[in-house]
Amino acid sequence: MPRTLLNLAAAFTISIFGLAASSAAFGADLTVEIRNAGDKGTVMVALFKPSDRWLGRASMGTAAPARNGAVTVTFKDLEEGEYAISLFVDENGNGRMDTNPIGIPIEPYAFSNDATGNFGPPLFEKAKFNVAKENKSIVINVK
Amino acid sequence: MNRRSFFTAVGATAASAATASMAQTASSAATRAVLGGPAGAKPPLFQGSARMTPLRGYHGQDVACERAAIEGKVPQELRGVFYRNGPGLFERGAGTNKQRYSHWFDGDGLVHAWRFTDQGVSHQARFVQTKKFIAEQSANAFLAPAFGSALPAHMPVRNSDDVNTANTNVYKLGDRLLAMWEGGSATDLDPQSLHTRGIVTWSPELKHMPFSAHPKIDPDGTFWNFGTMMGKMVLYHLSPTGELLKHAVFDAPTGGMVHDFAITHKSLVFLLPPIGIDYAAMRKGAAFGQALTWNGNDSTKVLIVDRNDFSKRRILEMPAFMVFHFGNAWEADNVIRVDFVQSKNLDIMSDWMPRMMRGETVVPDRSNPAFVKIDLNRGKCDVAMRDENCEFPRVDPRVVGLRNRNVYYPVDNGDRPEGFGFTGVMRIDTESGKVDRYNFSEQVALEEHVVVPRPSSGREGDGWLVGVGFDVAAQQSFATVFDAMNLAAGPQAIIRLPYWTPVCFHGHFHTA
Repeated sequence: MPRTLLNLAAAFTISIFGLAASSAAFGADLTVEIRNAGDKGTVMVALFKPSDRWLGRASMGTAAPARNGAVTVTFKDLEEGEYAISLFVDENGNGRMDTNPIGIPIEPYAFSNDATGNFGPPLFEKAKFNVAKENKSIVINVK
Repeated sequence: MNRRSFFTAVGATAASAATASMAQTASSAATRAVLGGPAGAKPPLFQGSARMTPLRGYHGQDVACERAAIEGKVPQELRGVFYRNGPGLFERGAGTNKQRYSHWFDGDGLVHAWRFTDQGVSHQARFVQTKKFIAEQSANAFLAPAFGSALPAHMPVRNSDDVNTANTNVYKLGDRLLAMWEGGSATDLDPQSLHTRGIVTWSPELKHMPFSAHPKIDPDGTFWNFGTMMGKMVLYHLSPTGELLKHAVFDAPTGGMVHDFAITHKSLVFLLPPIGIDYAAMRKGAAFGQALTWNGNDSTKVLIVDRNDFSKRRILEMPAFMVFHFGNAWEADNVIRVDFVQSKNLDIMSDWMPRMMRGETVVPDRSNPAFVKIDLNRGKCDVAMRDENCEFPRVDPRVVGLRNRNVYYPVDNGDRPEGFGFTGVMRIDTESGKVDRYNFSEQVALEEHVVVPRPSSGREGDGWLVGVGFDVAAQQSFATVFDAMNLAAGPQAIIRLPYWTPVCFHGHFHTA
């Protein structure tokens, strides 16, 4: 099993709470509909650009209460370009993605394109999508 | 039917050949009922011999037989449920998309219940409805990576329970029937219906942690288990009703794969073979099982853990050997005695099993009874081996962790024509060294046999040896009942199903 899984939880924590401020203005809005995130805690969403360290430090982040069905968050004024999203559900409200003692996440998580890794996070390439001048909507399924 | 005629019945006879066609019919009907279409329209992908029929697996259907045919007499005191578990599905897809797993360990868990009642013996087998099984059954394709087959993930793999097949062992703990795998959680089934309830989390922080398929259970029901993954080892101590009493997580002394262990009344005892993991091979797409390496120049490590305090651990070393299964261990005068089945290296798993799964008739490497004495004062280990070719050692549940005299094994008579399945059962008296043994004909492929104590008796061996097997000529599965202290007398009863079932790995008999 690749060791990358061990770093996943740490990466999430950094990506949500070490956010760089967004400097874009008058760009497109990105609406993210997050399905099946459960009804416990908060959905923590991190938006990465190619220039960011994937799963390290995100350009932007936001959060919304988890709700059965769908939760929607919006990133405003995005520059044109490629982006990818990682998210997790902070079910117990401790501000980080919990893992078991081996480092396997025990709170739900997902990526844009519903990208999956094999016992670890997917590459940025698998999760990336394009934002042009127009507003855009995407869907991410958590389970 | 007298005992001599059992031998005939289970061997190749004209009578067996007559029932073979009946078995085919019953099996096909069951398949049709579930798939909703004609079964067998396409030739099976697996072209193994008649002996290997059980390795074809099922197509996801559950089966049941309300009253199995009993030859001989089931003892009146032998009442309860014999639960077994094993990989039951190996192929999916149709036409050019047909896929077959390349490793025996990959199949989805099929849990069996043989119920011994006053009305006779019934059999039921249901697939464990794991997350993976449900998704793959719906897609009619393999979606999850497997232990020994290099398959890309077509479904999210967020943790090991997303690929959990729940296919290795089964034990009733409290009101939960635990279907156990090695790399992830146990799966809880209803003991009566075998309906799947979901994965078991012993405490929130232990969610998705590995929980091995070889727990060891004290005669009072106290339950001990372990798990290994990603260089860590976890130990579990559960009450007889399934409450977590304590656990510990620490760095594993060796990296790769640990399958089984033993307990004494004071210690947990592990023999950790030198198995490594080739992470580079995994990154290139190899399955976990294919990336395991045998580091024969390293030692097999002996890990001894204090049952009362998991932080008290000691490591000794022995020359490299492989072990899958333990019989028992016991401890007196600062000496631990452990019996197990020893093989040279990983070849049985890495080479023979994939070839067997392709239908090749090839004889596996030998695996032999071994007995090690661990002198805790001197820090020395001495091992003695015997010649018999066997596996799946079991002891009387009344002596687990205590001084035992007998160990039971299915054994190879040396006349297996095609490598797969044992042909006899054997009891080794570890004090006298004598062997009590019964040989079926070569037309039988036997699995693990377990000791069932006679109710109200405390004497080791007072009871029965119960197991299952496959009658090659009849193409039927059967259960056996022996007097546990007189195997040579032959089976007291053979209980036949009108169909064959996939081969199981392990199970437990829970007396009524």
